[in-house]
Amino acid sequence: MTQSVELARTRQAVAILRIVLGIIILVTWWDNLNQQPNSLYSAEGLQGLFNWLFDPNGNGSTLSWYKALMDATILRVPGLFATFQMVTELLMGIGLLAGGLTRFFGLAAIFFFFNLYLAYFGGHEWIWTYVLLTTSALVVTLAYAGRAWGVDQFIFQSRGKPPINILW
Amino acid sequence: MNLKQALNIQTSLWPIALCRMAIGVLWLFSLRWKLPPDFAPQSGRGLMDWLLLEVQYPAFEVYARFVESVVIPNFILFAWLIFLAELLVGLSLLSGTLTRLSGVLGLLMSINLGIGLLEAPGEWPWSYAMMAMWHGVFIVSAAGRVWGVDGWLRRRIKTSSGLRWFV
Repeated sequence: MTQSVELARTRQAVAILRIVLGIIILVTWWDNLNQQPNSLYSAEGLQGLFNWLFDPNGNGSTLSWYKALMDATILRVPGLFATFQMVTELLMGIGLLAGGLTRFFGLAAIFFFFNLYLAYFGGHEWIWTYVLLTTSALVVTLAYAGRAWGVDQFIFQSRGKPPINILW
Repeated sequence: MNLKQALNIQTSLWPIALCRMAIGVLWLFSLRWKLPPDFAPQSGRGLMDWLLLEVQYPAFEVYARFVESVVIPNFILFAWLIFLAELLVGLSLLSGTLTRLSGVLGLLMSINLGIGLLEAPGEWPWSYAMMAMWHGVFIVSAAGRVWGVDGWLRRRIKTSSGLRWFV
């Protein structure tokens, strides 16, 4: 197998990773939106999540500094942040699925999944899930995964390199 | 124009190599709760507990019956097979040795885990989907050639050798 064929197949494999990551985000977004009794994307839902995360009878997360940071920031304005999270996750999922502005949304996904890693750290949840998600987003970002089977491919062909490298 | 420019490719292989090592560590970490001779930790779930979960919450009846009638009655044999397979895949991915072979094994093991634990409480099936995908990426990208032993091996194996595909 020639080097060119192997490189092309690697790019396609990473594109599949991007697409599945986008699907995961969108499916989870939909589940969170329809969560009962409160949507996760509401003040009550967000507060309930963080209460459960750090409850020893819940997930039992152990990073107290992270909890303090959340209490001092996003949990001061849970309704506003929940709306922001809802919109951001939706855009992130669509962007990765379609392969548009992939590096930008990939960077957002790295930040998002790493935050989940910190939030779940030390608890009962299998933490490697968030390692896998974060590293997947990292590779999708670094490997320009939107330029195979994605909108970025057409953007690159018509506009060339982006003005800011983090876009496509 | 060089090859990359001609193909409009900017695939970065070092992040894939980094993930290869991380997933190698994942497999090795997962051995902690299934160490021989009893394949169970001092506290928490051991291998037998997970097999029983697969029987109790089957996604596919035929698979659950196989685990119940073949695997569990021959637990020690299968436990050793599982332990050795995960150990070899973990070490192979971590060191980047015969990465494509461990990619195939890891892919099959991930699919097996996903099938068995699809309906188990508290399990997120997408974790196993991602693991399967990553092993697919390792197979396609020959991820051991960067920061791995396969890069060294490849220069020493003849082009006509059948072993070359594995590195």
